[in-house]
Order: sequence, then C-alpha cells, then structure tokens
Amino acid sequence: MRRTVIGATALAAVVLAACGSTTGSGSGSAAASNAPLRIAAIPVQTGPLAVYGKSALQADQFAANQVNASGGVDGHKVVLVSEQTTGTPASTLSAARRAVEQSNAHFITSIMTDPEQLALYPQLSALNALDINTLSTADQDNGSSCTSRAFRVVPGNSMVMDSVAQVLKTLPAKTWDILAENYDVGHNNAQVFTAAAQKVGDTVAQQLFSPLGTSDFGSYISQLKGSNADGLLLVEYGTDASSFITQATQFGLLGKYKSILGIDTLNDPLLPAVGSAALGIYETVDWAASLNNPLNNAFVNGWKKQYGSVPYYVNADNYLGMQAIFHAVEKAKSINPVAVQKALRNLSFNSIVGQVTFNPQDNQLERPQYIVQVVKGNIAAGLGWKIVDTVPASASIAANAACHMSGS
Amino acid sequence: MSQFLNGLALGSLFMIVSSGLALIFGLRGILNFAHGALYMLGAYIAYSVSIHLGFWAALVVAPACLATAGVVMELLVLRPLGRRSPIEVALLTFGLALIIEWFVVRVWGTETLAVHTPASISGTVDVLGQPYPTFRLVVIGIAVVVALGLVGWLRYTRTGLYIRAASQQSMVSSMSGVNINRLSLVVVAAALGLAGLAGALAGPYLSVQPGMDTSVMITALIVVIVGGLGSVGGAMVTGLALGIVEVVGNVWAPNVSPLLPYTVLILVLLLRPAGLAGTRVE
Repeated sequence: MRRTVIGATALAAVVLAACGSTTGSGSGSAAASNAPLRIAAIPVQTGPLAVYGKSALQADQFAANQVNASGGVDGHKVVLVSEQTTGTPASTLSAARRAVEQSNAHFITSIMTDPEQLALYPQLSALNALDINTLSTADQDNGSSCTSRAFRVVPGNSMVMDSVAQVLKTLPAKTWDILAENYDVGHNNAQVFTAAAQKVGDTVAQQLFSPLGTSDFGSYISQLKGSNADGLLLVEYGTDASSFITQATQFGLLGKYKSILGIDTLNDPLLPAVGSAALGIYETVDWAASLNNPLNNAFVNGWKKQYGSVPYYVNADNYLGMQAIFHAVEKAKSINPVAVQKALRNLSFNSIVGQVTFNPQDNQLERPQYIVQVVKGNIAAGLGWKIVDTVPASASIAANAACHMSGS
Repeated sequence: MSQFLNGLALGSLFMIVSSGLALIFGLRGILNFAHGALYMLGAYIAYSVSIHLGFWAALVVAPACLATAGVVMELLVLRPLGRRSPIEVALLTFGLALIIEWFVVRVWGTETLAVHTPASISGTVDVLGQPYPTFRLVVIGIAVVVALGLVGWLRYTRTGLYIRAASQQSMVSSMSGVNINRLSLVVVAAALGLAGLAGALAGPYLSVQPGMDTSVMITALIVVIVGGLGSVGGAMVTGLALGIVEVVGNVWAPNVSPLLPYTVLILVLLLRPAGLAGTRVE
C-alpha cells in the first residue's frame, strides 16, 4: 500500500511541477459587420508574475469600458474575453485556441512571456488571429521569430538597452554585475547590456542567472558580494525582484554598488514590498504617470477616479495595446483580422506617450523611453519616481534586422 | 562559509515544513496536499499580526492559529473520512489547498507583501570574519530548537511513544489501549503548527505572495519521499541536505540546479524505494 502511495506521491510531485495541457486546433470565422469586437486577454494569473497579469487585465478592461462608454469602436462594442493560463506555452496556446474557437475572439493581447508568445506565433495564421504583444520584450519576438500577425507595443530589449546606453556614461558605476532571470529575456538583456557597456568603456564582472520563481537568493547574493563591481544590472521580475532586494538588504549587499539599474524590475506594486531599500535604484520605463499630454492626463485621471490609485507602466502598456487595436479597426473600418492586420502595419496614432508608429519592417511600435529613479514620494510606501532622462523614439528606431516577416 | 549557511538556512525551512507533513503521514497514512497552502496561510497571518503586534507576536500567533486549524481539520475532515482510502483523502486535501489559495487571494490580494523584522535581527553579524544576515541565523536557531523538541517529544514522552507505535502498527496500538483519535488530534495540530511556524519564518526571508505554497509543497513532497514517508527524522535530515544541495547547485551548476531535487528523488526511488530512513515501508 505504502509503495503505491510513494509512487503516487512521486508522480504528484512531478505533475505539480509541470502541469499544462493542449487541445485540438482549428480556425475561427470572420465576424459579421455589426458584431462586437472581441479581444482575448491571456495574462498569467498565478505565480510570481500574477501581479502583472492582474494589472494587464485591469487595463484591458478599463480601455474596453472607456471606449464602450463613448459608443464603441467604429460602431462595434468591445467585449473582453479573459482566458486563464498558468504561463506555460502549452497552457497559453490552449487558452488562445479556446478564445478563438469558442469565444470568436481573434485579437489576442496581454500574453506575458516570450516562450508563450513564440508558441503562439506559428498558430496565428491557422487561427486567423492577431497578437498584440504588450508585455514580452525579448528581441526574438520581433526578430528572428517575427511574424506578420504579431505586433509589439512594448519596447524590445535592444530598444531598452539603446536607451540604457544613452545614460550609462552618466552613471558613476564602471564595472557591472548582472543578475537576470534564467530564460530568454534575461540572457538577451545580459547580452545586449554587455555590448552597451563595452561601447561606453564599462566592463561586466560577472553574470548570474536565477530561475524564474527563485525564492532564496542567498547563493546569488554571496557570489555578488565577492565581486569587485560597483554597479548592478537587475533583470528580475515580480516577486523575484522584491525577494532579491529584501534579501540583498538583509545581507548588506546594495550599499556596495554606486549604481543599481533595473530593467522592468521595480514598479509601483512592488514598492511597498521593498520599501526604502529601493531608494536610488534606477529603472527603465516606457511610460510615466507624469507625462504631460491630454491623452495621458485623461488616462491617469480616469484611472484614479475608477481605482483610486495611479496607474503604472504595465497598466499603461496594456491600455496602449488596446488603443492600437481600436485605431487599427477604425482605420480598417472592419473587425476582420486580415483587414486590421493590414491597418496595423504602418499605423500611426496619437497616444498616451505622444505620436507613435508601428514599423512595418518588424511590427514594433516606435515610442520614447525614460530612465527614472526611486525617490521619496507619494506613489506607494512613501516612495515615488523621478524622470532623470528621456530617450526619444528616434534614438532607437532601427528595425530588428533579424526579422524576415513570415506568416500571411 | 556563507554559502554553507545559506544552504543550512534554506534547509532549516524545508525541515520545519516537511516534518509536519511527515508527522501526519506517519500516523494517518495520508499525504496532506494542503500542507503548502497552510504554510502560505501561516505566512499571511504572520504578515497581518506583525503589522499590529510585531514580528515576535506573529511568530507565536501564526503557529497557534494553524494548530487550531489542525484541530478543525482533524475533527471535520480527517476523522470522519478515516475509513476512506488514503488516496481519496489526499485528493480531498488537494481541494482544501485550492480553497485556501482562493481565500488568501480574496483576503490579502495578489501583490507581494513584506514582513518586517525587529531591528535587533535585521542586520548582519560577523561569522568567521564575514557579515551574515542575523535573521537567517535566527531561522537556523529556531530549526535546531524545533528539531530537538520534536526528537525529544517523540523519543522521551509517552505521547511520542504512542505516536511511534501507532505509526508502525495503528491497529495493534489501538487494541493495546492507545486512543488513535486523540493522538491524531495532537499530531495534526502539531504538524499544522509547524507549517504555520515555517510560514511565519518565511515572511521576512522569502516574501509573502500567492504561489509561495506550490514550490514549498513540491519540495516538501520530495523531502518526505527521499527521507522515507512517515519518518520525521528522515524528513529533517533530508530537508537540511536538500537546502544545501540547492544552494551548492546554484553556485556550481546553475543551469541544472532546478533539476537537482528531482534527480535526487529519482535516484532514491530507484536505489532505495523506501526512502533513506523508510525501513517501515511494507
């Protein structure tokens, strides 16, 4: 009996560690001319990235409610279809198929990681769907794996690093440690940052990669303590970021660095968890609540009114992704995915970050970026952000040369 | 040295969580799949208590709350279903875990929360000339106390004698006058209290967030299987060893380190299916 239980338990441990499922494939049909515009949001809602998934979904719903309140998009009411995923490619692919085949939602957004995106790309044509990437930043997404049916709103790693390179020479640190997530985005960021550092005469002392979901950073922190670097690049997301900063503070690590630079590491929801340990940390962002233009002011004020808090960049990126779909539908005068795809390819529109344009060579939205620093303020936990540098879109608009557009 | 202490600290946490799981299995023959979720609940309770009453109070209140939950679980779930097959009851505890996860998200939300420790244990102390976080040493110290307490309880008290006897031959113990139900009440309360203690210690150490239950549950399952299902001593030693293996793996073989616990599990199942200390497996 106990042997059976041991076997069952071992199986349960493995299954718990790697669950996911797939379903059959198929393609959906084009919607009728008066049909609602159905958009599928498939963000991760469990694990260390759950907080961003919730933020993404919140922004998608906010955008849908806002446009519906003003009569919809080109006469189409917007319906948000929320699908659950655990964040594994199989789970996300399964959710995407459900959204298209069962809910007739041919516009997919808010998928979180690049393994999920890359699993979806080859299926987009068969599903007759478009993917609006608002969260995944790996260069591969709109580089070697690019497809004509996927459009990215959030800046890619190389774009971010281009902006980092603009400010690296102004930061006091000259020798850098890198601690990044141990998957494509982390390695990609480390590689691009190393090249950017070399350009300005800085060096990289060591690179460490931690698995997504690492809870104890003790072993990494001990290695960082042994390095002679005076700067730290952090590419840790969600709970991983807050765990690292909290534990690094307990070890007294952060004080040894003259500059700590985060890539999508710190944001408003994490500030209460890390507290004053975050003071002085630099972060790259593609949006700030303080950007002063009519659309952004309306977005921030509307958000405050509805949720009682200031939105942050994950909210803004997903809101912007929804706006891109709305503008493309208006331009195409159709909700047919193929017509909208055509409209998106060189779509230019006025947005919460000013005038933005999709580059038709790699389907990447060209937009400005900002280097911010954590200072005392009133966003959360007595902390806030100060914009220390602005990098205009023109500084990093070269299309990803690795992109040879596939798909139809 | 600091890497060894890192392994010891992580292993200490694994040890406290896993020994609770092993205790319940030893007596009831049930794998409590809700153990990770209960550990998470302990962490969230500790978070709330620490805001109002401070960390030391949280370290007492969270295990006490979980021990009370253990009494409820024994009376409402385990005892009424005592005649069901262990697999059926294990599935029920899996459902219980889902309910607890839902409850935690509803009450505390999805955002990561921080548990702050008193200033006296927030800094670093010199260990062989190297500064090391005081809190991690506190975790190791508490784990030593728990280990000694558990060993003393099981080896040198009458209740411990009954637990050991019932773990080996429940029916014979019952026929000899041991009240298995009363014993189970104590064991389940103690096991969940340990989960609560581990959760309270994990707050300042690993951050409090929904999802913290899954990884610890997987680790605890591996620990109790490798240690020998039902063997508290085996779970203690394996928990410590697994913590050290994980840390050493992160340093020397970072790309394969996430696979190391599973590799150990497979090797033990192949070479010693009863587990390292599992001589009682039939």
